[in-house]
Amino acid sequence: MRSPRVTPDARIDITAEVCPMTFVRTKIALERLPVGGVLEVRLKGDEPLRNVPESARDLGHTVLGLDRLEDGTWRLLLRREAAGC
Amino acid sequence: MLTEPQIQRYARQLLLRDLGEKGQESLGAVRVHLALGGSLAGAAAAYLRAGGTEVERASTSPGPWASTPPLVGSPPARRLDVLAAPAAPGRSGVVVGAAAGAHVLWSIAEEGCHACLDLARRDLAPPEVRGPAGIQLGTLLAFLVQRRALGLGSPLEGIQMSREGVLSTVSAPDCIHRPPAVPGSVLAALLHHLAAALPDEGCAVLVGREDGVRLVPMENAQAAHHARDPEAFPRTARTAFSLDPRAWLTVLREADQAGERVLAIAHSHPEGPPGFSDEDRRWAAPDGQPLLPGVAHLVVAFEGGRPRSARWAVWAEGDFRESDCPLPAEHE
Repeated sequence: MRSPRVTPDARIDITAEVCPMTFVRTKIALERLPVGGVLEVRLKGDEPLRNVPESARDLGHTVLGLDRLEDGTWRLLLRREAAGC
Repeated sequence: MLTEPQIQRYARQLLLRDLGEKGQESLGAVRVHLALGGSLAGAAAAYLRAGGTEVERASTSPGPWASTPPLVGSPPARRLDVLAAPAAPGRSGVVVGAAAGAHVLWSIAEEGCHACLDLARRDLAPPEVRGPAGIQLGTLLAFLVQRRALGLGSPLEGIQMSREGVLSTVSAPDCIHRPPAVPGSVLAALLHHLAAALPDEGCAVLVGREDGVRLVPMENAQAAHHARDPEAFPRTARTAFSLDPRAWLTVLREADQAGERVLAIAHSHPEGPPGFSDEDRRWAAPDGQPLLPGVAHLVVAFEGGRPRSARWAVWAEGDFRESDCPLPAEHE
């Protein structure tokens, strides 16, 4: 999934976190953004790669993109939607 | 904004839908006054404190809640009362009571109708639970208090726990103590209909249920009555209104079929005066008792062909209580 060219409004790095803190960090960071704001999440490992985008979608937010970076981590772009919390 | 220790402590519940950072702050902005005893109160206090809410207990016996230090820096601003029936919260909170072997919890918001709560809790006895059943009821109680703290749910909501521990929701009675909430579009349609009747008085009925209000425009039957028999009906449609019985019957039948009820009868005063007149009062309560209990009245006063004010009249505590009904902004 190629990411669109957008400048994120906030960035978090959850490569050092484990479940459930991976999504706790993501959820709080999204909540702190205005509706429509874009969050960049750096993550690592199978578990957050599966769960973080899915949990964000479950709350009504939009997954804009997911890219694998050269160092083996992933860059996830999320847009905060009004419905999400 | 939550601090790092708060995020760590509340991580699991921060994941919940409807909670999050703002929700956690709402839980912390509440101080619960718990005027209950026993395992019920112990369980409720433990859950509430663990969830981040301050609890003050009427009794000072130690319990699991005592070990949880408060994490919120600023003093909680909002008070929620938890009481045993037949007492009731002055502003907002939960009342726990027993009826026919089951336990019932009523939760009311600041904006909830206390007259409705009075009716709902009238036949409740103080709760009588011990041991595991008390703990179950206590956790349910904590859940209701947290919903209230988070601003979730309706302003007055009830839940019942049977002797076997089965939970079911209890419906609040249809509130007849306050004017119904009428959407601006319905109000605009009402004004339009009443304006079309000028210079005569116009009339209409508002019917609905919880999920919506509908306008039923009515014809003012007074003109026909006066034309047919001016001696029996000396007032013309300029200064009086009446509903045609057949049309009224149709309104009732259709509302009944749709699961709706009559919320209000609206009429106009073509050239003022604003508000519910003595004549209106005699019409609505001929012998000092409302002819249509639970039905509100809405009077729209016009001046120079334009609506100038709208006033509700709702029967409560032995008289009609008047209140303003804000008019929708004009679209021209």
